[in-house]
Amino acid sequence: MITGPPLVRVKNLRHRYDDGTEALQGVDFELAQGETVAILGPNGSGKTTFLLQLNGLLRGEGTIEIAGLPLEARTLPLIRKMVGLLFQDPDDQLFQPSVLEDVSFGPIQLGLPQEEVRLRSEEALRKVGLTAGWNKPPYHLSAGEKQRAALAGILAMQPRLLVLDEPTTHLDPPARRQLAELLHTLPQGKLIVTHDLPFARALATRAVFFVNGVVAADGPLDEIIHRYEWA
Amino acid sequence: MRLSEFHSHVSLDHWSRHPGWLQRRDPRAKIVAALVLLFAVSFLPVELIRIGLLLAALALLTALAGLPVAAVIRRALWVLPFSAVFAGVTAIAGDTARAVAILVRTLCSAWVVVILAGTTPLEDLLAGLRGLGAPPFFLVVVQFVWRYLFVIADQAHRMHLAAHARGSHKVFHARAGSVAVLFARAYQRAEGTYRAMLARGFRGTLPRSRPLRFTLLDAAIVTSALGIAVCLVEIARR
Amino acid sequence: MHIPDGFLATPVWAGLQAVSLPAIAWTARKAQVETEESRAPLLGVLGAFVFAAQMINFPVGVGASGHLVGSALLAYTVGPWAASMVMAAILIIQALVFQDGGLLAFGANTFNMAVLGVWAAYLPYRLWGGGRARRAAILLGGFCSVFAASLAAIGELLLSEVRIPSEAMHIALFVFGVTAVIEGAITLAVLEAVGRLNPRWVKAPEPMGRPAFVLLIALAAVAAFAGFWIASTRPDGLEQLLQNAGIQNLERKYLAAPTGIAVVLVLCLFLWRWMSRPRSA
Repeated sequence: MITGPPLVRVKNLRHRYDDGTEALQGVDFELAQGETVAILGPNGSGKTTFLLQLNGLLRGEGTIEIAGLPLEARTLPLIRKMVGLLFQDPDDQLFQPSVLEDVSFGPIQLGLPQEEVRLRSEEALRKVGLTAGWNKPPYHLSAGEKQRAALAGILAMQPRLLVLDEPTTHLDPPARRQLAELLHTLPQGKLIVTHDLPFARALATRAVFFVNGVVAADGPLDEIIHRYEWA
Repeated sequence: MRLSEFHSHVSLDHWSRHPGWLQRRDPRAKIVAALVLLFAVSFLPVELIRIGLLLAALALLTALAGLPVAAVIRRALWVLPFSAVFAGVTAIAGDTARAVAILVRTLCSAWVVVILAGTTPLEDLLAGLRGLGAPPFFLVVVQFVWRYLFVIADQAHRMHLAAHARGSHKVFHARAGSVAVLFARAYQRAEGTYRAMLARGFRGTLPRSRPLRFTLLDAAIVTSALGIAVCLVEIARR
Repeated sequence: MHIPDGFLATPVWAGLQAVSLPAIAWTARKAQVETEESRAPLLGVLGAFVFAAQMINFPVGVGASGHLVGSALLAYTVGPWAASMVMAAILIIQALVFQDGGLLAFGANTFNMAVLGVWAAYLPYRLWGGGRARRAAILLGGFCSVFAASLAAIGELLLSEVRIPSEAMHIALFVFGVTAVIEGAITLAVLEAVGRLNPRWVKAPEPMGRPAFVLLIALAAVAAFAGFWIASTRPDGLEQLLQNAGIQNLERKYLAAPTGIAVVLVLCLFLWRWMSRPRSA
């Protein structure tokens, strides 16, 4: 068992959008260091809203602690370094003219020296299996390659937690398998929102089920799938 | 511009990433040289020999740059519809010399730009412009336009196909509605991109593009362009 | 209408470069200071949207179709300053990658579509967009945007001694009128649909002080005058010019030219902006 503060601790998280929608109505959640959890639930149940809270892109009420550090305005830069968020559409994330420049974006924003930026970027790209085409523009890549490039961009920041929002949506089955294998090799704790059950099964044994902005169930993945007839 | 011409960028993009000697040159030198040549072309006198020389020089430059000459000329000919109309009108009015001048000038100018764009990927052109003093914020916007242009154009194309599949008799309003949806998706995409930037620690300033190195060869390019320009202008004066 | 290189006479394209390039630089610097670099993705993506939207067919009758230019739509969603910059961004890509418009002529095309086109659209919107004549204002804005840009383009060609016989001129003006009307219609339809999706995406016409108001009216009058003068006098004036003018008379012509008026226009713009600065939010 890993000791120390949990990687993620969320208590009574609430969030209401401008138009009045209560997207989160009191979420309690904990993730241990190095643990992987699948986040399931119907569309509109608050899963994505929850994810966006974890690195402060959305702010609600309640407490969020990442590796013991409370999430507040002054700790945001550090939190964003620790939490790596992979969005659903890689096109939204790869906004630099070349793959290498895009992966370097995070380390540069962290204020690292040029040499360190280069080392980290190249290492991250190798880790995700993209060994060529670093100077190519992102639109020359396949969907699977784009997703991996986006992941490299996050890994280059050396996060402690990976948060993935439906990462296999645009991927074909081989690309999905490749992504699962890749994620399996990474030691970070992982929160994966997904509708892709084989993908979830490959990576997580624990699942959390969202309904109407709260965590309705938290337990073994297969049990949750069975309970909610989620297959 | 029509959708059919739109995907033509692919060949230019492809040519510009070929590892040729001209492709590797400093974009600032290439931009300046191109502008100098364009300036000279605008003074081109309407004499068969001069025109022939210019065309030969351009063809030689194209070949030296490793670009497919026929394809480059075909691209330069895109200006033809526009200039042919005016050339035709001018010729009918009796001023054939001027008509030929219009045709030659527009075609050669377009040719120069195709060589420039065919040997320099857009991000390098933007880096060159930045080096020449263009405002960085403007160039970043250009970069984002370029980055998302094809994504959004593809979306537009798919919406078009879907609409066609269902047909409609109130097409104008349906079109306007789908353009509005395209706007909405673009706006949401921008918010998503901004979030992705924030998530990676964006603090308000975008990274500088990689540094440019101006070498002797680059200086040679600018000088040769100036030389050609001077020759053309001098010839025009005489 | 994107003017390629090789058409415009040196004083014309050079003069407009001298006007447009600093204008874009100034706008960009202002945008950077005022709205943070975080705006860049939004402006870029919306620029991509307009570029893509320009290629969409809007059926307007039997076998005919119209296209959106977008200066007005941009002005009404991100404001005129950002709209100018986005249109200029679109134009530079069109010039470099698609050879649609020349590089020397970039200043002229930018002036026509990114400056004149945007402000001619914004003026009616600023004056009447907040009231009951809102839809008419938008239609008018779209119309003026394209019509002014087209007139300016023709004016620049005429100034460069490109021959346009009067019959062709009349046809051209008619075509400009039609495309301008289509722009107004498309802009209105799309803007209303966008507003239904999310009202916050449509910018409210910004409040301005009185002196600025008067100045803007003056600006409008000058622009209208310039447009009509070019259109009405040029076909005949050109005949006249070709009779008396040799190379020597070119300079005199340029002094009196609408290019001069264009410079005045831009000066008015800068002056207005300077005057309305303390009142902007």
